[in-house]
Amino acid sequence: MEIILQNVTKRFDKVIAVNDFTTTIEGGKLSALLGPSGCGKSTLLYVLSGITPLTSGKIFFDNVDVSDLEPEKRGIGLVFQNYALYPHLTVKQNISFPLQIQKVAKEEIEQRVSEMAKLVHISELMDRKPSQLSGGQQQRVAIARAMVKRPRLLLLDEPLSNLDARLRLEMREEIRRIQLETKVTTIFVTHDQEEAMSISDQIILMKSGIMQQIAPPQSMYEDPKNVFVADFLGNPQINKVYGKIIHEQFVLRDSDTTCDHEKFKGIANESNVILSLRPESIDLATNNDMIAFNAKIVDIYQMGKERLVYLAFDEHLLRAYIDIDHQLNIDDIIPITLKDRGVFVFDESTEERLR
Amino acid sequence: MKKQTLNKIIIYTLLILGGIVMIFPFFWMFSSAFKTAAETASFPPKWIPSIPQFLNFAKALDYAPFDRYLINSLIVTIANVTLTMISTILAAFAFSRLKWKGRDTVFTLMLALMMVPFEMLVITNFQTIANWGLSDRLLALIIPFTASIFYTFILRNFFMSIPDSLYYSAKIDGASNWQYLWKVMVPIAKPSIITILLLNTIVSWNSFMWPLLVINSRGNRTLPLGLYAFITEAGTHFELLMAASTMIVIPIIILFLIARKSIVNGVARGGLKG
Repeated sequence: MEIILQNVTKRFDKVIAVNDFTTTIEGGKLSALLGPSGCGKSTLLYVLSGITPLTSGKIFFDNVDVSDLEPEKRGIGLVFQNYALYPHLTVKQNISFPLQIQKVAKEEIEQRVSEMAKLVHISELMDRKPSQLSGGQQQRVAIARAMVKRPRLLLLDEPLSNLDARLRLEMREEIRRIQLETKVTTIFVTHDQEEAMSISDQIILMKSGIMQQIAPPQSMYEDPKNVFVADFLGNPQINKVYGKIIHEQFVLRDSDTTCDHEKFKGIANESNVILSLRPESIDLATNNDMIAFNAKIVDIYQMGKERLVYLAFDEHLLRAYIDIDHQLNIDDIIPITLKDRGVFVFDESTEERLR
Repeated sequence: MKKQTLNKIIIYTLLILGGIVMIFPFFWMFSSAFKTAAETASFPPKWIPSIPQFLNFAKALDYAPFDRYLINSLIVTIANVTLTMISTILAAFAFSRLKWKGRDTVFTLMLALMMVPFEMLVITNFQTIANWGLSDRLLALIIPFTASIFYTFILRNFFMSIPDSLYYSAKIDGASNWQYLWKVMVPIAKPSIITILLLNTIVSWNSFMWPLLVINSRGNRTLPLGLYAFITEAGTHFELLMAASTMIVIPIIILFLIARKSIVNGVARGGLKG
């Protein structure tokens, strides 16, 4: 099911939680609603569910205006952060609940519930109460209960935040598997960029209620629209230095240290810019490489297959992944080359991408 | 070691003494119910009757229509408890889950009403009942006791502790407010509801002052009233009075024994929370 948001705005008294949101979310995909905490991503999810009424704007599900439709009529499944299982009902009764409310015939309930239980791998827990389940199992039950209605849209609010690290990895793959098997349009909220990158088909990145970019994870990573997007994705964080373009050369602010790269060509003279460098875009220059600048090695962290090196670029500390084959020592001054990928130039005042 | 045993001895002695003080009246009532008239007045007192007088019970029933009183008590208690429970659940829902303007102000005002002592209400209630022409009818014992601010307060607090996400979850599952109340909230609040039910039953069953004011005719007496009247009716037949008391107390004792855990739990929980 395709979801179209038109100027969707939600205001709480003076706070604008979701600000003039316009986008189209493709059907049948797993989309991540990503952003720092308090950016309005959960609010947007509840606006989509209908629990939180809109202040203004319109929402369409497959070209049908649902902006004023009651939550129960939207055909959605919602999994809450705390799972919200009914504590007095068994797993089976929990999953049956939505069907019983809809007065579905008994045999059909039986069949659909056991189908769902099989899908989320909880068939052997059917007679337990929620309090007798682990976090991961409760999560599965909550997903089953949301899915048993055969919703057109599945919404998950921070589905992994209450789980420990190992379970989180397991459950995020489970969510991916269930989504792929059922092909249900799914939107999940997360503040963890790695989580969003690893399982989603597309990421909707938000900041203070405003949409920053919507794109598949890899292309958002490689092609960020503005400084915030570049900063938010990637671990370790992207390196960021401020400066000016002078005669197609980057000059660090309050310094005469320069940096050379193909990408600076064609940028107007004297522009104030932000240069963002992904750690993996920084490498030791060899043979014919264009030398961007020279840097001193401050620290080296060997981490198995890769090596994180801290470089002093004038007064700035840069994080870089440098090929393990090169012999490096602390305090060496090495020539640095910048790859094409992962080097971004942003306008300093608008924070929009220039190159 | 020695000090501990000494402490234990002191504690147990005190507890046993306390227990005797609590149990003694019941024991005295029970044993007197089986005594002959002479035995009840004998000095030194006779603890155990020499020949249990089972006939006392039959005689007591002959003196006054205790079966009628019992039926009246049952009608009044069941009606009170059922109606109070329904109004309490609905009010607690309205004051916790539903959102409406002035909700909390209204609730605070209702709590303030709890300050008004029952004795003050008796006069106005009596007037209302008289104006409605209900004096000396069982309805007069039912209508003024179909709602309770105190029970509403207890249940509302419990309802408040149920997370919002359950409500929204049920909404999305297609449940109406009504369905959510009865299918989710009430089952979750079962311990609280049982406590309220039991407390209300005991209060209603033992209620004495109000019935004494509004009921005159013999046929409309409840058990406590009947017992009170029996003191004059049975004259000096102390053993018959005790037999009648025993019959009245037994249902409550049985109820308490069955539901002891719920009562203690409910009161203990309410105490901790409050």
